[in-house]
Amino acid sequence: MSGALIGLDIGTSSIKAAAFDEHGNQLTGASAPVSVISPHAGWAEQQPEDWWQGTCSVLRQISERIDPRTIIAIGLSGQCPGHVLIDRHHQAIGRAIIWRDQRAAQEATWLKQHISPEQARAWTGSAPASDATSPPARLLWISKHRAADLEQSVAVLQPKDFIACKLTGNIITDRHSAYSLYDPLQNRYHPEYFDALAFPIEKMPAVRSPVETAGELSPSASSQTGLPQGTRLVVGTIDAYCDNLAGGITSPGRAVDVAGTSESVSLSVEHSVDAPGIYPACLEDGGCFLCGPTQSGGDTLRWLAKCFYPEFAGGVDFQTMEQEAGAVSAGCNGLTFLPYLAGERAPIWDSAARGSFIGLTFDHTRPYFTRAVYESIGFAIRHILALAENAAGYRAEHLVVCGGGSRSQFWNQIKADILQRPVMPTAITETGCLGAAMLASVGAGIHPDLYTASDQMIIFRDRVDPDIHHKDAYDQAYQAYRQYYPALKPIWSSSGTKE
Amino acid sequence: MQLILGLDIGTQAVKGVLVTLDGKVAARAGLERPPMLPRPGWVEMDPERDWWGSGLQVVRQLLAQVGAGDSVIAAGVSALVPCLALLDAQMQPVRPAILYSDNRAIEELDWVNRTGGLNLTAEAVVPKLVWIQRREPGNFARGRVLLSAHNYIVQRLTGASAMDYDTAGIMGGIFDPKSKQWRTDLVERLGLDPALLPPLSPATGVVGRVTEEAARATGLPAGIPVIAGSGDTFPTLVGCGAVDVGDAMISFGTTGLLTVTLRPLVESAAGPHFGASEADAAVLWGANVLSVGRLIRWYLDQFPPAVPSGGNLYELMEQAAAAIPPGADGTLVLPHWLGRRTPLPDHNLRGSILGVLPSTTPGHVYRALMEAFAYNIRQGFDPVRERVRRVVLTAGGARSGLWRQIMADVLDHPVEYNPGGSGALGIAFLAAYALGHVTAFSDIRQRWLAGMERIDPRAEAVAVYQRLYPVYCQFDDVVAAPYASLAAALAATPAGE
Repeated sequence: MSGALIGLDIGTSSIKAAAFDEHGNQLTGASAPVSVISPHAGWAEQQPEDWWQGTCSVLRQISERIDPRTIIAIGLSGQCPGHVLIDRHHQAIGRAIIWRDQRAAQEATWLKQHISPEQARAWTGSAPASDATSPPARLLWISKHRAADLEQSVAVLQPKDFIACKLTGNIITDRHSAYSLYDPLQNRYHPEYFDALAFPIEKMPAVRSPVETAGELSPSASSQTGLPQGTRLVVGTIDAYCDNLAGGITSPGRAVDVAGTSESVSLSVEHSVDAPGIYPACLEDGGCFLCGPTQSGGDTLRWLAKCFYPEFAGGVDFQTMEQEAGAVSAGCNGLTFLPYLAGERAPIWDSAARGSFIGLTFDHTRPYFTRAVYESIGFAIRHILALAENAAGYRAEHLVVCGGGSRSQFWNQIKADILQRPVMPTAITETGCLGAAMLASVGAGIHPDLYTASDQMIIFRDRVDPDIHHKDAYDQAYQAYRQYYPALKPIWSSSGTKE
Repeated sequence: MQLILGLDIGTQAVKGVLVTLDGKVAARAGLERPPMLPRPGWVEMDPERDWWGSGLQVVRQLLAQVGAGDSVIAAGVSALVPCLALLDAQMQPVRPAILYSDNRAIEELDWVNRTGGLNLTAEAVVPKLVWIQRREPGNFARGRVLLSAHNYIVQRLTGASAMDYDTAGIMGGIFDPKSKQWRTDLVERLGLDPALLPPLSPATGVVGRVTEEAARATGLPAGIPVIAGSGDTFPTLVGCGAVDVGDAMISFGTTGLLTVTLRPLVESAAGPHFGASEADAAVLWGANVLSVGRLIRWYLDQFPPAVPSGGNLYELMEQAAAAIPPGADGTLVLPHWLGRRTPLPDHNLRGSILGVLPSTTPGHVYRALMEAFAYNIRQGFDPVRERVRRVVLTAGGARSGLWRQIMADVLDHPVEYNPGGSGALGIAFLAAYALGHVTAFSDIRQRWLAGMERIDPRAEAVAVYQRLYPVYCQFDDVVAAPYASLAAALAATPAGE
């Protein structure tokens, strides 16, 4: 065996690490849970020290299971955007504000009123991100409400960059994690922008490429993790990007569905193009892709189980749900589910949208409800992919599915039938770790570029071919699915059915 | 003691009472008997098994509850209407009966409306008779007489075929209420034989006496008079006490109904109960909601909660729903599982459960189902609100205290309820009246149903529903177009695809 590449993923519910060989075979893996603290409605915080302890724990387990001397490099993947203030001893000041936190709503409004879209493009190279979770709104909030902490701090870091700092002592980030603050075209932070945000520009970390080296493991990090001092740490990037790398988004013409708690659908494109409701993303040497993250997926099934399967008191039994859903016909005899339980992101970006079962008759039994929920995710994928392919001007031959949801043969078949093209599930479901390990492989020179890395490191399971007999039923059901939301949308947005 | 038998054949159950001449219920019995749903949109019952067979059992149960000294002196039967039971020369059904809620004959409905210059809706029997004629010519050829459910029971009890004016009036445009005769010219124009139509009778007319054979089968005394009876609406109105001008009735049955009594019901006891035209109508039909009790039952069948031993399913769900605030946190149901009827008919509509959040629970959905019925009733109530003096609730669903309160809150109007009210009580009262044992309709309220519960609307809930009712109406409106496309698409797809 030549050596091991470690992917380290700083997630919201757990810290995960996995070691792979250069062909993508997983050698070992470990995870440690972390918790979210919500001191007020809409707030979401985590203890940076928990991330660090989790990191030490998972890396130590890895070091005990493989020969630490074979480790070539570690790559990082992380939740984003999150914000940690650190002091000059590289200790976190207070808790971190994480991606889910909605506290900066007023600041987001201020941004919309004071920074024009043209100005935002000039400063950040992209469309303005001005919702309550966006980095500029966060920095505004921090400068206003945590002035003393900010004064005392030396930097504001993303979660994975905080871990990089703990491991190497270097204060850096990657250009994707720095979105909405950093101008990747001119490779700089604009001072006028930070003046407008009243945020000290010197607290921003240096920006590197995700495949560059962040540093080497310090003696103290070595003693806490069990990994050799001097081990190379590669900068890494946002977990959603790592997930897509693990599906091979760097391959031309590739469509990738990351099936996690929510699904995200991406299409590889030669150069950045505008598609309605889907945002473009570009990786250094890996080309660009159109990415449509949704709010629906595994969590939608968990809600269904909680609401309609009281017998699952001991935990969700997906096998039972799949068996039930598999016994009723494709298209659910006219029953449609709109999977907008928590509003929806791509492609409709409507926080007022709601989950809805439509088309009910007395012939609809529980299995139809369950199947309708499975099918709805397939329709959401078809919707996003259609928009992306329309913008890109070509059709992907198949859909790569990765993430935990890709383990379900039943669901893969539904996706294949709805899209009427083969679905290619990958073997590794820890997509964040695999993507980070790919970045590490390029950073360490094992693979020359991300395209080669993904080509070499993705292992596919048996492909799932579409059943032509279901085409008409699904085409018809998809047409219905597409009709209902536009009809209901004006009422949701004007009245707000929520009391 | 002298007793009157009241028997009511419902869509889900057969119920009966034996009542003394001063309105005391001496015996009460019931039997569940849901209809058959052999295909999507088809709703059928077997007349011999589901109507007569169940009726027999209920009568025997009733008689078992009273003493040897008691004697039944008269009987009345009411039932779901209109049904299509086609009988052969031996008075045996040629096929299962087709119910009012059956949607199979949509094409024939269009044809009948065009050919006859009529404006029938999907409840009507005539298009279904045309359907049998066209699609089951063998069955049609054997048919000699057409009866609805209560006529069938009366036929079995007395050997006499007869139909009351009101049931005749809703067969589908073929009855002339002024002359109280069948419109044989129209029947012939529709290619049907007028000989299929039974003799007509007032609802209070005695059409026959219990035969020896029926006496042996039921245990009733042979020779006692049986009135023609009627569809369940008039007896239900009488049986819940909505007998005076301005009395609104809301029925929480398998299907739901809002009526407002416009003339004292005593004036039309013999029928036609509901008048020949709007000008002399005895009752105003405010709303007809097809999926009410059946929707609740369907939901519990599909999603039964874990019931602790000794627990009651309905009570458990009612508690869960009562813990959810008015408006169900945005969960909103459009209750059109069988399409929508009065006041805004659209048979393409289907049911919808909208506004589901990650925090939505079965209690939210259950409450939303109850609220949906109240919203649908309000669509018929608002236009006639000024004419309503009091609102009386009746039928199975009204046993739910939560549902009664939701109705009061959504309508913003006090409602009244007596659990003793029923269609079976009403038809027993009508039989007693027909035979001169009671003389005033006020007796039903003052004596037979003394002690009504009154439920007042609660200001806080009223405020919520005043905001949400327009939202319900908006959703109800916008789903029409996509549901019409869905219906067209499904119609173009062979079943089972």
